[in-house]
Amino acid sequence: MRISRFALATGLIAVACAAGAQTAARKTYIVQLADAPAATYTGTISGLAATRPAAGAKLDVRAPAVRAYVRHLDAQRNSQLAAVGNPQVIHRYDITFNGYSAQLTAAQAQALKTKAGVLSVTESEVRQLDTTRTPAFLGLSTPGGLWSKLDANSNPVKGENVIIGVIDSGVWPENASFGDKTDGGGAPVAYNQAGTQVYGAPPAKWKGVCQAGPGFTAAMCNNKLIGARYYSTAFKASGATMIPLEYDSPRDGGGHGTHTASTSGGNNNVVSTVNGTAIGAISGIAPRARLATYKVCWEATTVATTGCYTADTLKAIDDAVADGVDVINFSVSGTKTNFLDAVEIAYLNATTAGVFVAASAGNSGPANEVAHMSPWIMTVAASTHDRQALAELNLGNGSSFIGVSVFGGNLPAAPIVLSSSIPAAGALQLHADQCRLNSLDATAAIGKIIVCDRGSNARVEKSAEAKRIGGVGMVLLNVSAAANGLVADFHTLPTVHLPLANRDAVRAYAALAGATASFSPPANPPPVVAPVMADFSSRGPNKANGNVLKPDISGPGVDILAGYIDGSLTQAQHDALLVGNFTPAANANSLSGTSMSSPHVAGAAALLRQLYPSWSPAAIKSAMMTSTNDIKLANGTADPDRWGYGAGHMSPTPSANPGLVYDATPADYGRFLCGLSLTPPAGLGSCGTLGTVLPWNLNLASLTASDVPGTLTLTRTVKNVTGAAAVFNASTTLPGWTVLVTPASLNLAAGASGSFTVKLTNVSAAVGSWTFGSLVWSDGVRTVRSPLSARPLGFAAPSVVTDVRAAGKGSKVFNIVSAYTGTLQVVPNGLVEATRSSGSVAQNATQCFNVNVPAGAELARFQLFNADTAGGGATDIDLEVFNGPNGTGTSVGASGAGQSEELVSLASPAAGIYSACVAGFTTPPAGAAFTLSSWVVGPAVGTTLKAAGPANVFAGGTASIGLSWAVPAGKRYLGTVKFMNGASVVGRTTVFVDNH
Amino acid sequence: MHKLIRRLYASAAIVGAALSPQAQASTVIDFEGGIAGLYFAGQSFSQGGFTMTAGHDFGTVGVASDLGSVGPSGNATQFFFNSNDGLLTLRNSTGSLFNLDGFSAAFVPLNPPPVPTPTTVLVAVGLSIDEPAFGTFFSFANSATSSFPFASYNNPADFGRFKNLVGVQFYACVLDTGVCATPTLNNGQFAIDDIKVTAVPEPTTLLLMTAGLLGLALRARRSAR
Repeated sequence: MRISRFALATGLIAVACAAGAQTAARKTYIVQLADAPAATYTGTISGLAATRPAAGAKLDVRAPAVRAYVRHLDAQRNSQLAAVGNPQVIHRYDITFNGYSAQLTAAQAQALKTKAGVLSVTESEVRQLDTTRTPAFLGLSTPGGLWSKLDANSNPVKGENVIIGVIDSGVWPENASFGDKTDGGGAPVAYNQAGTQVYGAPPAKWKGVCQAGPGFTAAMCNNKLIGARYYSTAFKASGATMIPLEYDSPRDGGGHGTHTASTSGGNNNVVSTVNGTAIGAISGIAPRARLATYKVCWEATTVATTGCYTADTLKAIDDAVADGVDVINFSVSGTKTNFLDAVEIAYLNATTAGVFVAASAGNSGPANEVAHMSPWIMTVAASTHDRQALAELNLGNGSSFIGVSVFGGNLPAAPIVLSSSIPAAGALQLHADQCRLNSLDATAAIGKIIVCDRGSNARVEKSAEAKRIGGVGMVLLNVSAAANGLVADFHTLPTVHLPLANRDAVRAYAALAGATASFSPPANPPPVVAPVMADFSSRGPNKANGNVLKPDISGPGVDILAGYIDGSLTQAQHDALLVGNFTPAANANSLSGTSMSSPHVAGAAALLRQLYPSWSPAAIKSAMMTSTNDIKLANGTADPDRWGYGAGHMSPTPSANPGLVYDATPADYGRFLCGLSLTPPAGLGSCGTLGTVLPWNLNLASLTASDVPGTLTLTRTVKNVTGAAAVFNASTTLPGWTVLVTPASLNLAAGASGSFTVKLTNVSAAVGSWTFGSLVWSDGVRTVRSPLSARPLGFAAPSVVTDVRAAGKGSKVFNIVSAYTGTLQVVPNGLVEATRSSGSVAQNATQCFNVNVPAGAELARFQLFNADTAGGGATDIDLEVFNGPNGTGTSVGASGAGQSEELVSLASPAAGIYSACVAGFTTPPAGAAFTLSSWVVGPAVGTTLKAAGPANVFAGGTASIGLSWAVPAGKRYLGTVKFMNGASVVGRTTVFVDNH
Repeated sequence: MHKLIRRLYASAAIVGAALSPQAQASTVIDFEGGIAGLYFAGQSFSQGGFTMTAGHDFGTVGVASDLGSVGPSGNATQFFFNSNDGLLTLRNSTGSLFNLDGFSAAFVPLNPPPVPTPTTVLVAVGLSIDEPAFGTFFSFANSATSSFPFASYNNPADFGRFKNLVGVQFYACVLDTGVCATPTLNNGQFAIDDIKVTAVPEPTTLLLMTAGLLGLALRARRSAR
């Protein structure tokens, strides 16, 4: 069970009682089964041939073998579902994930966990959407850019016959970005407009469909938008409700999916408007690619239920791979810590079927919150581009200020007034300051420019309010240094957005009687520095494993102009559209987010897929990562913080000629998971046959070592893709380290691979701090630049050493690693026998036990065991610890695993009365008896634990630590070992002796 | 390995000793029993009339599972684990001289191992009264995994010099063209078991015994008369 549901279990006691036992609450669970899905199945079952496509080939869902295997999976599922009473099934997954989602009670979910063939049962979650000139900024449309090059079939490299699948919020087909015809002037037109067909039939690999639904007909698909599907089953089963302006069909109700689809593969040269304002032409990155949209994200009546449901998303990934897409863009949030998350695993299986997956890094920056951290995914951060829309505010007193504005024209001089001075009757002053809706006097500012403060309400609502009261322009002023970025929003009247530094001067003048102002294009616009990291872009390092660089790359994600929905529809127009009696307008919008950068990378990957049809997704990822440009700081110097951008800023043109690629097979990802003691998905093979690879030795184009004990050697293999024999020479930079590449020169025949090692030795890098540099292979023509990152380890000791041999007297030896040469003092404390407290809890009930923690305690630990719980593993009780008595105070630790094996450990707890509370999650009706074990170690307790360390430790070296103890058998004991270098504590290990 | 402490005090052996001054009491130190536990550097323990001292680093007497994944194979009972750069010294508890006849041992790697793992050998050093200390190298059995097998070292030819010793020291070294020149950096760990030693009677003891035997023989001859 997940701990998030622990809170639910304790919080909903009254509800559960009222509902009664006969209608136990059902939720959507995702059940993962052990056999391989069709994308990775290798023929291990007698009578069922392999279905995994060969490298470079696509999965054919119509092939007899695939059909037979899918039938087999379905039969397996049916027998399992029958065993738990045939619950309502939401989706069945066959292609990239073997399993299903269903509406289950907690008891059914628990029962399924123990069934043979079930790998995991997890609750479906809601995940959030992460919310041009970019083709020119990326060098695609400039002379010599990738668009001007030709593939083997003499087609320009613009994504010809490559299919991009966009798993998002759907599509707005009235945008010409998605049409397959052009008008007389060669400009693309939408499905509903006359024009000349410029796309042929979908490529033969395409097996998908155009699903009709309310507001979306099959006629809206065409030879550009070749597929559209939607997935709302899990959304509805969760009890969520769509807003009245949503569409239960492939039609986009939020705008996000239309934006990402048109960014990745929308037509070139689409003349667009934003809410009626002409903005020129926009283009996707792979403008000749075909698009298929998969709608999994829904606008719901509450913020919490709005989003993308994982149970639906898994089905969309299944379908996208079965339909034959080449590239998937996923601009949706995801796990930050779990490589075995169902969506990550489905994308691993999609990768196995040859599909390149780009995903957004997340918008939680600048915090270390990077999502989609799996090595098989291209995780994309967001940075700025060089199109900056500026306007100059000219005040009547002669001073002028340059700010951000999408208004490109001249606004003649008009009176300027502070919104603060014209509040509506009864409106709060703060509301008037911020130009909130209906906060201003409707008659006081007709024909005037209104000065509004940033904050609280949407920026476009402020301009809407200014327009409502008859204003002709708005000046938007930042009020805080913490939110001092300038945003090129599309306002409903001319607006200039100015930084905090200009606030006082503008307000002082506008407060004067007779003040006037005008807007004009800046006479001397300042030079634009780009790309600069966006504050909101989630930063690395990888929280699941620091040896895998994340994010991988950065792309344009600030003020991105792309297709959008027409958000001005009335409910009546919406309802008419549902039944085909209304045709809405095309629209575009400017959005910011890693959601916007990810489709730039997906589009660029589609270009490489067109050029290199047989390359693996890993090879395409490598080509893009070794060809990046530098990200800059606002002052124009290189940004030193790799955690923003990973390898750097995407650069599509050189990525088409990478020289060398670092390739990785599905088996390599399996070995990576095995090396972390994780079970790879079926179809990749078992750990016994795959073996393991250390995470820093996975053959990624990035080299990252998160805990280097003085020295560490990384291995890599590169493949020569220049098409001719070539000699590449290595060079490296990594301040504070010596880096030895062996061999330093690789002489590779065309298509040949060569391996090398990179030995890192810390010279002066600070322990615990990251250093960033690079490894560059060059043949004099091409530069293959890999990001190289390393962090020296100080001291590593296991956090816990456990001995479960049933003897009172014992000894044990374990290893530590130190980064220094010198002596090591080893100080044991303990052993302390467990205090055992007996109790009993019913389902949804809680019982707390108080524990006194003295000053100077090193450790407090609370634990439940199946063996000490009535019903054993069939009972699910959970544990939460508070820093006050009887469940008061703050929760300081919780454990909500399935069954009754729960553990909360508090290192160096502050003195006080704590309480350990046991909660019943799944118990027999009469409740479950249990015994809670608790220990408090320290400040100095017992001498039954002896510990010995080495006479010397050596920098980067391992050494053995010896323990021995003599205590009565039949109990559980806890102790600690403290490691000291002189007076400073460098590490601690908990010693747990369970000899009962 | 097994409970093999055999004190050969049978009268036949004593008679044999009388017949040949080279035959002595033989002992196998197998580290079984209540001596299990942790020994700090400098700490000693005894078995079978012999005293073992952990030197430089700690040692443990225990079983393979105490060492986790690097625990050696081929030994189901207790042995001595010599940690890090440690040194095991063995002396006759009475101070008498003894011979070393054999032992079994296994390499115990660190986890994670240093890169690259050096080739390490076991050194047995004989300490004698009348000549400088001398050493012999014994190669460890190899392993493809982190668990190395025990090997027995019983060839009399290897132990020809290990006679009339006051002590024996065991430690590991990285053998570099015949000398231990490379520091082991804590990677000198090994397990040792079944050390076969034979006490050598002191010259005074031998004289007394000979005199006694002569006396017995004389008395026998007299009673025969």
